[in-house]
Amino acid sequence: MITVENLTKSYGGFFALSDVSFDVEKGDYIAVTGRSGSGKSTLFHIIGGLDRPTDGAVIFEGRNSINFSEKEMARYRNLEIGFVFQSFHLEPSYTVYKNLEIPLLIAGIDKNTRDERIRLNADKLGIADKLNNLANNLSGGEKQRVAIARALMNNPKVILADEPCGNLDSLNAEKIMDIFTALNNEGITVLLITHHIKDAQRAKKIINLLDGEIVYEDRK
Amino acid sequence: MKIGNNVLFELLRIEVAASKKYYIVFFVILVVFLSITIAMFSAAISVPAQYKKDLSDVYPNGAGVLISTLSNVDAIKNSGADYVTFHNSYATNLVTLKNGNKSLDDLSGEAHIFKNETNRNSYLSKIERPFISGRVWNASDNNGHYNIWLSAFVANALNVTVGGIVRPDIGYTFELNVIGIYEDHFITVKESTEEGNFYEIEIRDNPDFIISYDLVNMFAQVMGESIDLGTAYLEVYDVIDIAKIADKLTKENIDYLDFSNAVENVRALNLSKSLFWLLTFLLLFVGIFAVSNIISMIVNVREKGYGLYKMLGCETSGIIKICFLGLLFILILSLVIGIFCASLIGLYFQSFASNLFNIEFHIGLVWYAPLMVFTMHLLAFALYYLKFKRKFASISPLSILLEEK
Repeated sequence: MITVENLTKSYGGFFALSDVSFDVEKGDYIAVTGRSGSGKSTLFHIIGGLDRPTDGAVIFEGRNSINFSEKEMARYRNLEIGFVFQSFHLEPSYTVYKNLEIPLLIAGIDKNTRDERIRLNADKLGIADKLNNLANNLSGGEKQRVAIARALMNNPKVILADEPCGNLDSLNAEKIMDIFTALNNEGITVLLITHHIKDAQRAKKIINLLDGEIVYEDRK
Repeated sequence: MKIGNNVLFELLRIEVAASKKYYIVFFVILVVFLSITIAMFSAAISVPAQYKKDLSDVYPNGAGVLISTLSNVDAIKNSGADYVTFHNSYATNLVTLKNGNKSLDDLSGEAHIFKNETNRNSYLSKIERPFISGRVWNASDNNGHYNIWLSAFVANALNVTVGGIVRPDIGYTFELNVIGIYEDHFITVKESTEEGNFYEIEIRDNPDFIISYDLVNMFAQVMGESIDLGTAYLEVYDVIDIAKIADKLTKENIDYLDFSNAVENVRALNLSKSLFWLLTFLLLFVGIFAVSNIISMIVNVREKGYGLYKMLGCETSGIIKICFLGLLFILILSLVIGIFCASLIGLYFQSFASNLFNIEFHIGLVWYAPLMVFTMHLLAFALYYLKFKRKFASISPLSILLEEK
């Protein structure tokens, strides 16, 4: 589904990523681990189309996303990828409903379909009763559920989750990880960055990075 | 993804809600500046126009009077005026009417006013011209009405006929009753004397005005100084032109005495017109500057939000659309309310300005004032768009992520 080929990202003389290559199958659940500064987030940013590499390719369903125009890249981010971040990145002054609506509005989905999808995913993530609440007024766990629901809005092929449990207590973290497992069981491809071995062990494949290079890659 | 129009409004609504307080500040500032600018713009246009209309309503013949003591007679003649000279010496009240390059000593074409019969007889004995005696007419009815004869040329220019009235001034009360219009240079004119006698004298050279002695005296008394009638002249001008002529005479170091306060009124009018225009453009530029700063603030504050939109798949063009359409909507709304407020300001300012300048002001809302002010702001908007286009393109979704890290 995704082939990362010889991906390199350098800033002057510093290499955040150095010749990284691996495959992502459809329905995969890959955990990317490594110390801080090992290049995990840089890797995700490039796969997710938020950044461009110095060298290498990201082949997504036969097309090299590195060569996408701004328009194609925007479409790629909107329809193919769902992002989940440690800091949630919700619009604090919007309601949950409006936060979930944004990717659908950008995709040009009509009002009825938007409403249907929002309620469906909100229900799935257990936040249906929070739709009229301001995002700012939610707990950490609820915010992350909203972020995951938002990531699912346009039925993406891949979820990229960058330390989704970083700002959560263990109980909520456990619940969030359960959600990712459930989504993967439904067939959604999940790429997860995590520091926690326990969370990484839920994945079907673990990739360990050190100083921008893959030092360990193992599939269960 | 390119944002379709069908969802643009929805995104716009969300965006305005997200930065509500900044949009409210933007709205309030715009309303204030737009309403004051529109009011000033309207005043700059309507006040002089209204004043001119008022003048022509009251003075359809449109006359103003200027009397001057001249050191340089030719200067006035070259400016297109005919001149009348007077002697203010009581003993030799000589009214000399000249047209062309006749000297003052040329006794032809003169109207004489004599103190007494002895003086008159003495004078008349020196000339060979025949004359006709007649009854005296009173120059003044003591109610501010003075009788004059006009040449046909001047009468046509002022559009008056016999029986008509030439009103020199707005605030001044005297009137010049046209009791005769003369066509050729041989004419009889009646003079007044204190004794009630009158003399008819042949006048040559088509004088423009024949002024009675009383009128001359009245001029002198009003102005509180003696007039050197040897070099004085009388002109009648359109009131609006009086201020220009007064300035011209001043530049040429020619003293003038203004019988009317029309000069001051028109000067105040010109000054107020200049002030209005100055204030209008000042407010316009200050307003545009303020709006530019607020837009900068909104863009800076919403940069994270825009980065999020980009992360979720919105193109730069979509973000620009959302931002600027929201601001444009506020601009249009501010204009509508600004027009209403401008009308209220105009009404208040009308009485304030009337008291300040001692002129009746009528400030109405000129229909194209809001249009022009809005167009200027719209042009400024186009400049903001160019300024911020690059900024929007440079907003990276990564920036919000790296900031958080």
